Amino acid sequence: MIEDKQGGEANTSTQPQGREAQGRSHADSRQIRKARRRNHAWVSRVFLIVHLICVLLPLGVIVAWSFTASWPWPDLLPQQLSSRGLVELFLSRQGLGPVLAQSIAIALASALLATIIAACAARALAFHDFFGKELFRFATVLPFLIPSTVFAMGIQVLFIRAGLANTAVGVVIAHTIVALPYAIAIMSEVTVAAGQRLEQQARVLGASSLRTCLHVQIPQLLPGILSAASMVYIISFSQYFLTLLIGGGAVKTLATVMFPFLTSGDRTIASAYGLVFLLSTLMVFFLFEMLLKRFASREVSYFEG
Amino acid sequence: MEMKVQEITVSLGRRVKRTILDSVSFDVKEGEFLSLLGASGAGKSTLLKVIAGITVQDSGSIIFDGQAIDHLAPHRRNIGFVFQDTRLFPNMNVEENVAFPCKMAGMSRKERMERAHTLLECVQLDGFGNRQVTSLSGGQQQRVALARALAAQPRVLLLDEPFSGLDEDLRDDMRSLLLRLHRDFGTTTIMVTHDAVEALEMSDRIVYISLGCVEQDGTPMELYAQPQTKEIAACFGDCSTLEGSVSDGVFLASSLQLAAEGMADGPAEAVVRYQAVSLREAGVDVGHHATRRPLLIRCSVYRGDTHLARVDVEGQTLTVPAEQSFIPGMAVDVVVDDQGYFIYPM
Amino acid sequence: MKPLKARRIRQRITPYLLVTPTIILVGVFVYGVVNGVLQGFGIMPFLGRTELTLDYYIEALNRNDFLASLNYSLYLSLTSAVLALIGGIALSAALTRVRASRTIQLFNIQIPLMTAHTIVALFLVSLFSGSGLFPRLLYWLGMIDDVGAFPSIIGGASGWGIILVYLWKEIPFIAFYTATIMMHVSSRYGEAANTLGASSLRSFFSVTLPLCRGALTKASLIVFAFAFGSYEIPFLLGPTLPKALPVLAYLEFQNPDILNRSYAMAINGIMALICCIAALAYFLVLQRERKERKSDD
Repeated sequence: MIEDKQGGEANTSTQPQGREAQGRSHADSRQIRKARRRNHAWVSRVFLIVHLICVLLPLGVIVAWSFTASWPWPDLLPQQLSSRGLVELFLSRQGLGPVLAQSIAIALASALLATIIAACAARALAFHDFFGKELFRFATVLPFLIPSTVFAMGIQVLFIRAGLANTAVGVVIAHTIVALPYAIAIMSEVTVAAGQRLEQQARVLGASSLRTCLHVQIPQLLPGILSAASMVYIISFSQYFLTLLIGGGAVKTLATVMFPFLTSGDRTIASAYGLVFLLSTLMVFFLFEMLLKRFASREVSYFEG
Repeated sequence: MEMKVQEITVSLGRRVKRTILDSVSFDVKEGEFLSLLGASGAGKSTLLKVIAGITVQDSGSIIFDGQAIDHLAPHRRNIGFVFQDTRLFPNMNVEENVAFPCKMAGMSRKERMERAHTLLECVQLDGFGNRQVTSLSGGQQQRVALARALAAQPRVLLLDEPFSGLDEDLRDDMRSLLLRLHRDFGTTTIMVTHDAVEALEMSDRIVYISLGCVEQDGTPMELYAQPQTKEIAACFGDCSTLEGSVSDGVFLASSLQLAAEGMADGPAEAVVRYQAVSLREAGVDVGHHATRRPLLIRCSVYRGDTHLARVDVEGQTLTVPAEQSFIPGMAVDVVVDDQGYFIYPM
Repeated sequence: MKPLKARRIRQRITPYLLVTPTIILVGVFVYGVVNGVLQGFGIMPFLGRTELTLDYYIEALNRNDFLASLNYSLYLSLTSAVLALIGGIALSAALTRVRASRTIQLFNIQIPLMTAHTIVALFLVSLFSGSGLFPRLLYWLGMIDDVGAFPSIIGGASGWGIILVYLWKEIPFIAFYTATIMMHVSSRYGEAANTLGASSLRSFFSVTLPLCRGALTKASLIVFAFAFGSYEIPFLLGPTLPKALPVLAYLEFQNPDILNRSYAMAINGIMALICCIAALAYFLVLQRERKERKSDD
């Protein structure tokens, strides 16, 4: 049956026709290929560009507002450049410097704590069997799905009695708890992907568990460690409600200080806060990216050789 | 179907362009079983993907029955492709997998289920239709992949190292199954492999590819008996490679001399098949032998059906099959059959 | 024999040591949630109340403002989750299709991931409030006449300002969660489907999408739970009435009357219950994926 069909096709395309087709294909083969490469991909490109505009346009507007003294209706572009917003933030008010420093410190501490704890949990989930493993897996997902508002209102009493309310330590613990599922998810993925091959190799070559960890596991997991840490950093840095309830106004972070201004009339101040906030998260993100590039590129050359 | 591959060139890599295929051309005849043979990394799989339309070439054309199909996306080419890792869709059962290409071709449900049933019978998997693909063994999965590739009556069947993931004993079964299907269906078939013996056993014709170029295009016998390059000569295994030099039509490595008629003087390499060589005790005169003076045995290993004697040729090794084991240090003369060695300039 | 036993014991307790810190932290989390739910039942030992009562839950379910809030919160979170899922699939597919470079991913995914929800609220205000960029643009195009002519996003009962904030954040989140899997599936099975005669679009819907279902479900459940339970955005952009549930709960929580606190906790309890259903669904997906992975091996 198949032979029939193919035979038929072979007969219809006689030799001269074939030659002609070849000649044509050489002449405009470039265009044909280009057309095929573009085939449907332009839809995706347009979509990505539209999405990119949706992402970048508001960023641009915020930057414009934060350097503007006045931008009266209905002008499309701001009229006057001014540094009033940022100056007021850092100098005239009680000073944003210490608040910023505290926010960064809390976020870094949470990132460190959550990443280490998540790395341990991920390891247990990836390589060990233990009693209640599936229950544990479920438990690690809970803070993903049960709102932190419910948690915050319920835990406040405990934190007050434990003396953790209104302290930075309490805020770090609370942030670590809500960010932990993200860190565990990221660490689980890289831990499973890395497997135990290199680690076992290091052990049979005589490395202690500490040195294996230092020389094999941490370098191998570094991309995951850094992305988990930067995720937790961002989550912690962005927390408003939890910080408000646990910190009780005594622990000021950029997210809590900024909050009342966001929908206030003074768009310049609000945007200046927004700009400072964005820069603080971007800065840490690029720092981690840089670290990753530096260490990961070395790793790549190991494997390509 | 008749197929032409014309001057296909592909380079990959975003920053550093690496040429994977460099102006590769060959023809495939109607109903032929052609193997693309070569070491791993030679570009065979890339070539197969260019034929399938998955990878787009920089220049050159693929011609099916006289018509260039370079502008066609993979799904419009009517091909069958068997990947090394089978790629059965885990969200469908065996039957749905086999019927998938028929569904894409617009067959009615009843028709394509019948077709899937027929094909599963062809690959000796009748009754497996409702099984989940993950419940199958490696060999069964590969058979389902084969049935799926053939389901929509493709114009050409492309196989990318289809058996390299299987155990040795399964491979032989799969090879004969594939040959039987090829005989029954008559589908033009192109198989990528790095196993030279597999290529010899199965193909009507072999195209040998090395570093992105065609090195030889011929029948299995031609490749075995007249390998064009050292790499092809060596790819069938069980051979020794010796470096030396040619002068006055004679190749010389230490005291081993081999006829090299018509070759220019200069450094050269000889590939000597194990089976073409035999040993004589030194000093026993039996006509012409290839050694000017006796060579020494370095060691000898046991290989079940035979012993292999390693003869020292000034630091290089010539391996010779022998009836019995030899004592290291023993002096021997070597006799070489003139069909079983090949000399190439370096 | 003895050293062997010691090693065996050490090996057996290792996982428990590894999970202990997580268990402590998750324990604190669960304690907080359970404690809140119990307070909703009137159990507040720190005030000397230990009697269980259903009054607050009954009161909550009978109050009109609660039911309106519940409806409103469900509307906001379900709409956000469904639209974010659709947008997320499209974004993820687009990234897969063009084999997005790291730079494209940085701008399309990482920047939205890094931006806090509250900042996104500020974005929305700057673009869509009465004096925002968008009304200005409409004014220039002659489509509106005055500042007040553009419907404000702040306090609008339709809540589309809130939904837009979630979409801006969560479409990239869903793409982040699924793009890697989708790229993998597409390069493996999508390619195979192509060679079997399926067009790109068809192979996407018949093979790639079904194989990404687990990840997509998980991501949308997370989005739903987040949109359902977060306080900041409905507080900043929501209407006076109906209030989103977390806003209502916090309002009651702050009330000096301790009875209102119990009422707040009852609201939280109901929120937790709804999210527990989402959590259960998430867990079921997790279990199914684990089984599939096992049978793969």
